[in-house]
Amino acid sequence: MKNILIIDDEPKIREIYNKLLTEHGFKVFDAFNVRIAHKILMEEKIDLVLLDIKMPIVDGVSIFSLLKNSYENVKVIVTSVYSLEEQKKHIEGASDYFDKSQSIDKLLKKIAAVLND
Amino acid sequence: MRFDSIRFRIRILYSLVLGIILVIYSGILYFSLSYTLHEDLDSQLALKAHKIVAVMQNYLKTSENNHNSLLNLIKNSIEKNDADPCFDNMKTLRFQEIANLTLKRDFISISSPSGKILGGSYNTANNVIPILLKQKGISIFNNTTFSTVKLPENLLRIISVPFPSNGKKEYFIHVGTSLKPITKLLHREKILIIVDIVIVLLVTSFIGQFFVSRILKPVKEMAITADKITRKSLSARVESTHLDYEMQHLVDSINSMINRLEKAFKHIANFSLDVSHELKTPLAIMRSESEFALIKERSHKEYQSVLQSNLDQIQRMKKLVDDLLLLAKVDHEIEVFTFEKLELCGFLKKLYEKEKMLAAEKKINIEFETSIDTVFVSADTLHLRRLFINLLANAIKFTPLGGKIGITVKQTAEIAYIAISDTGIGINQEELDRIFERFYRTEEADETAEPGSGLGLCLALSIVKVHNGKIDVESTVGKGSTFTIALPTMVL
Repeated sequence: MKNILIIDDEPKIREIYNKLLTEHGFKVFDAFNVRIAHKILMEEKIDLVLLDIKMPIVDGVSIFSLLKNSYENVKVIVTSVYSLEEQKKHIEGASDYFDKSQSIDKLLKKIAAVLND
Repeated sequence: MRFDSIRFRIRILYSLVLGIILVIYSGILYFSLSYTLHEDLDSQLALKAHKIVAVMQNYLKTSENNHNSLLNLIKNSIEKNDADPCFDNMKTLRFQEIANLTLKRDFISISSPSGKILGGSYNTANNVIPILLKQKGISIFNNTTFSTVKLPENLLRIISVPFPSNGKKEYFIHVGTSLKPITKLLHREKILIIVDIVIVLLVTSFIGQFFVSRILKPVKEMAITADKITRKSLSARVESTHLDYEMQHLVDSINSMINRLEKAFKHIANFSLDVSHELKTPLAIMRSESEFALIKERSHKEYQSVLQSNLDQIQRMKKLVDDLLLLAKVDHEIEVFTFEKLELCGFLKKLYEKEKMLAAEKKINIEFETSIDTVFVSADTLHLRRLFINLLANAIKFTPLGGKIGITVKQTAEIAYIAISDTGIGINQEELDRIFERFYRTEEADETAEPGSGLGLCLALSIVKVHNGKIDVESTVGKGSTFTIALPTMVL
């Protein structure tokens, strides 16, 4: 079973993605800030992080560099409501990018592709 | 070169002004030279004539000499030579002084007052004196006169001096000289001046062009820079080294204008990005949640929860749109505000009663405290209510269960202070500087709390500003925050 960590400040997004991914057989963790995310990353063996960009205090950009530095094996799909183009401008080098206003089917496909890679 | 260019016009104007100055200056120089030369010639002629007269008068003083012998003597000596008047043979006859005058090239003639030639040097061609009388329009000589006689190939300057100088004027001694050397000199001078003026004008015109080009160079650069500027590329700036003061000023103005434009465009771009983020978030939630619900058959309760959640998100979007519109109004359409006299204490008390109930749900106690009965301000009630509701909602949101919120009203001579303090989580210094920015959000106190739009405090600030007031915030992390609003009171 693959472990997925959702880092997003929007409680509704965390709730929905949590339910969705759990239904699809993943073990899901979620964090609304860097502190909690860090704690989970240390305690659990996370395979994939779904990372939001715009968050208060410490944003996705900073968390991404933290992940790249300390957890290089963890794959990251950037999930934001920014357009994909804008997301790539903010964060370079993620495994994939997902626009949260798109269909959740697409998200599932991207997750499957990234994890099978 | 374009004829409507500044460069061309300055060049022409410059040359024109310089040309006029040069012509006037050269004219004065030329005429004063001409005058001096003629004066000089006249005084030389007078000197010669008077010398001759003086010598002759001296000659007559000797008793054995008389007019006839003098005339003969003169005739013999000046007519003897077929070239220049020559007094060489008179040296012995005390005419040394005349001989010493350099009379070569000059002509000497002696005539009766009516112009009858009694003798003259060969070079005079005896008819000069009648021509002189004719040109002067007189029939007899009267006094010492200077005249210019125009001959077919020459101009003669002549002085006519009576002799004897005292008493009856029996003869006139005419001494003349050609004006050719002077006219030649003046003519040469004239050509020289004209050539000089033309050369100076040409040279200055080119130098002028060079300077004007140099001065206008930044203008050209500004145009090139302005051409480069588009909505996407506002990074171009006009080079501003080695410039004259005025140009430096212009270049600085243009550069700072581009700076402001760049900032404004950046601001708009960021604003659009933020707005689209805030609007797309509820859409993303509604879509994801609805799609998730539709994956398979769900329970009645689950559908209900999805619908409720969608409604919440719709509400959230509506609030965002309302806030954005209000913000636009506050910032750009102040006329939407209707100011009226408002009694602040009563107004706040009503709000307090309402918020007390909401706070009670979180077991938060709100206290209202004031030592004054009434204080009047000029306010737009609707928007002022919005401001305090926002601040109280924030206080409730960031204050943990069982906390306290205080509303206090104080008043000095001209200002009413309303302080809203809480025992919430507080705001750190770094964030304090940014909380009034549009779309700036701090971390929620409760992880399940829905994030705000990030416009609340920004709106509060704008509303306070419209009321000519001020908003201040003090905060200690872990202890709580106090927002203080200062509003000018109404003089009754």
